[in-house]
Amino acid sequence: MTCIDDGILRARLDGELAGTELTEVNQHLGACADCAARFERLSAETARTADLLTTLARVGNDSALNPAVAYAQFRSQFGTADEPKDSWISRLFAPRWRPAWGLAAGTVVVAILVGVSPVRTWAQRVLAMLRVQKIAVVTIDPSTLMTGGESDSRPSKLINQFMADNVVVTLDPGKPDIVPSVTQAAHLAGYPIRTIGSLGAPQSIEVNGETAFQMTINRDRIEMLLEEVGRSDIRIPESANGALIAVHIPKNVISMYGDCPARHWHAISDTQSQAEVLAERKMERMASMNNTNCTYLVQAPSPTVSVPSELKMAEIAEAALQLAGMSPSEAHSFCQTVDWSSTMVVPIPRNTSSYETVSVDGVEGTLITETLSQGNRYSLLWIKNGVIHSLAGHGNSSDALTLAASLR
Amino acid sequence: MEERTVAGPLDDLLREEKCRRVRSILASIKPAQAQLLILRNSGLSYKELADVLDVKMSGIGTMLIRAEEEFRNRYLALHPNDLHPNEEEL
Repeated sequence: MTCIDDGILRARLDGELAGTELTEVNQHLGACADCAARFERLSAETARTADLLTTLARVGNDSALNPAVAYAQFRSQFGTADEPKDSWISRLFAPRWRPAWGLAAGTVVVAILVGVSPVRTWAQRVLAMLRVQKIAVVTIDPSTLMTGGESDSRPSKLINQFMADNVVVTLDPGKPDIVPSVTQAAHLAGYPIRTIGSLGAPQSIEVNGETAFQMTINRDRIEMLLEEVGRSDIRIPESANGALIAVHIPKNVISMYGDCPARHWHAISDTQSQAEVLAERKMERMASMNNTNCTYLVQAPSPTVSVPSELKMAEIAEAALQLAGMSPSEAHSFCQTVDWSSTMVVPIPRNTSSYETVSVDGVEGTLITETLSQGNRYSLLWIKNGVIHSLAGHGNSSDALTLAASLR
Repeated sequence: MEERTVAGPLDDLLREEKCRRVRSILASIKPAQAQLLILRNSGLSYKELADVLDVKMSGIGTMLIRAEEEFRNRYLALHPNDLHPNEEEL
């Protein structure tokens, strides 16, 4: 028997092992001085912590020993809530951003993948300078953790909470500007805005502010999160610990054509509960999916990301892709094929979506088609002159290419 | 539960202060870790913890170790003289 990990030793200490597992562990502890020493150390540390924690029960009343009461008391005393803090970062990945990221899946996956794809100098150290030059699509299993995209699922809540706790916003985009004309949008954005000629003037144009955030990779905390979402099998490379990732997203413009649902600004008011916000988002998402006469064109200059040059991005991406539903071997082989310094990876659910490489706007693009009960939905992505374009709407792939051909 | 045999006013004050410190540290660590510690300390089994926190039972041991380590480190940083091996009861 190989040496026993600390988690099992702790379970043994807490009397949580039984049967053959208990026998095997006991036998090993009798034969392995190293594990026996770790077990002793663990026992001492646990006893010390337990001594402090039991003061909670000694002071006050006996109900602190009742788990349900203790939990309720704890929540009321410390204001701890299960609901994630809604933050700027969750808005970034809210449904309104979906056209920008194609059919991007879960929060953390996108955050990490965006984080390791593109760049700009930020920190004090020598950083890798990366910028999105191409797009790659990866198909993932939607039945696993992240790809359902339901913001009220427990994994999403945990991950949103994690992001809220660990991401430092250095530049808040503020409220989007809704402008009546392309000229005004271009003026605000600071770069030329293209339009879909065959659809006439956009019904509405939204200019989203410049955005920046950064996070330091804390390996222990990420692994804690992975354990909480039941994926303790995924390991974060030790070399990534302490690495600073800084993301900068320039102003971007979303032009809406046809009968598009009203887009809501998701600032949380004091009187609005988390449940109400989630319900509102769900309704918006449903409205967006049902509205077949709405087309989005997103233009977004490449986000840039600063990462330490020594950071092994492929290893982090491999962990992120496993979290998104890929098998370890799939994730490993995919990561070997991608140049992480210049590629934005878009995860799509493999059972309802397909993709193909197409020629669009004089460059190579990626056309993703999603099959829904209401019909097909497409998302055409390409990069031209450093600007990421995303054309999304309902219809067949040929519709997307026809519309893209009329861009001016 | 411990029997309080010499519960003079000073002992009570010391206990209350220690309790306040513990609560303060619990409030400063990750909510999930604090929940885990307080629920375990309240007597929940690994299976019950896994059910309540919606995590896998096999990960509870490791989660407890990490949560306690975080708790201990923060406690020691603020109250270095308050946590010794073989510490005597107050």
